[in-house]
Amino acid sequence: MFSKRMMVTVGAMVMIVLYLMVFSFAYLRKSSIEDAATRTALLFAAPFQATFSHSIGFIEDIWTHYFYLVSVSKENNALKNALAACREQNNACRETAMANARLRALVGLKEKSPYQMSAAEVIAKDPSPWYKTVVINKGGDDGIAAGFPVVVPEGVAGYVVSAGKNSAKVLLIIDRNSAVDALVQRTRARGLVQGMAGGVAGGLCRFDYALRKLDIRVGDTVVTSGFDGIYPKGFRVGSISKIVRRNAGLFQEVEVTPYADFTKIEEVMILHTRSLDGEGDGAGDALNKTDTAE
Amino acid sequence: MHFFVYLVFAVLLICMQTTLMPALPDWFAHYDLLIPLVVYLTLFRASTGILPVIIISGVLMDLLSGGGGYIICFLLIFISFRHTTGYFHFKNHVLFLMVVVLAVVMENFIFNVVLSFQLHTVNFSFVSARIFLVQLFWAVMSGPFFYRLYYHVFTEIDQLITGGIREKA
Repeated sequence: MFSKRMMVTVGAMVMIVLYLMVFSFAYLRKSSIEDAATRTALLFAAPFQATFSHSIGFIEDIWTHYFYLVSVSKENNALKNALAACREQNNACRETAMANARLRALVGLKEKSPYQMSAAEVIAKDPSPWYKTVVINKGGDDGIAAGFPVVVPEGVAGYVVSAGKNSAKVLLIIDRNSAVDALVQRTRARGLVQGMAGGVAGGLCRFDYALRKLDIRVGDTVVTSGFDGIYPKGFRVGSISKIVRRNAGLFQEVEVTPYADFTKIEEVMILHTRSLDGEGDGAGDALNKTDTAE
Repeated sequence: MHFFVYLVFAVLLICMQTTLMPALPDWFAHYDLLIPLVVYLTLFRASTGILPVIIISGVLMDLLSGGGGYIICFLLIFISFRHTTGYFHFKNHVLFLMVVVLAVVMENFIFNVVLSFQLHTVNFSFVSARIFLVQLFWAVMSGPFFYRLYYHVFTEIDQLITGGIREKA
């Protein structure tokens, strides 16, 4: 019925399609081949993306710094007021920090060493609306490696999933493939912050595995727990925006709105939670050692 | 030579897709700029260099994206519509527009299947419906523009490279 040649061709095509299907799905791509391919793709695409990004930034700069000057005076007054309030708050924080240092010294607690940080610029975003990753302009040459957490002033942004020579791919916390071990700051209720972007709810996260009995309220701040081995302890993730407690079930359904605005993310900070020569095994472990020492 | 021209186009579009489109408001940002190119190459261009460009574009998009599915989508578009002009015996912007719309439907279906596998549930919500409708809107609105653009650009390039027409017979 079918010629031998046709059978071989169809067989080969099926093999190729199966291979490509496996190769396509990110959650199945965990091999070193995939990582090398991603690094090569970043190496190839990043210079073009950086050029495009800078050109767009230049045009945006002209727009925002020239055409929007009309509202600058009003904004300036508002900012001056906000700055005055911040100065007062800063002074209070400094007092608290000094008191904290004195008390820590009094009870003999060790200081947690802050991590080395690198600033990076976002040069590209995910081509698909269904996934949330960004490409930054720092890579292996700048000491960046896969697994380094990425933060913005407002809170946690994500972590480096693949680092090329001069660029790296960052998985944002709102991507559904992302999971952050977290705590509710007020009650220390533990759960897993998982992204919901890509079709369910853009820019939001779920706080999974929070037991029904745990005291969680709308407006509570969620911070990283440090137990996942990626994010250091105590970084702000978001605030609780919705809670549903059903009659049945072990867990409550909790929604978290991240503090970081991922639609406007331009610059990020990368935390060097471990040295590239293998010293230190991630933020969680480092912090656990500190906690044990304490 | 045509392979490199197509590849340059694809890389330019990928750069635009990852840098320019996210800078635009959400209302523009969701449309995949590669689809019109893949459809145009599939429908109207001679086979030399098309398939490798489609595969490279798909792989590059998959590697730059946090997920995957582009390579499957582009290959399915190629396999499904390669002989369409042969059946309909006409080549114009209406056919192009129809196939672009079908390709957008196909792409969204594939991504939803992939996401449903990841979620272990059917991925349907108001947000996903909006993403789909925005893409359909832009497919319809920009289809004729992309058709004219590619027609003129590739005709000019044909003249420059071979001095003749490289269009599919």
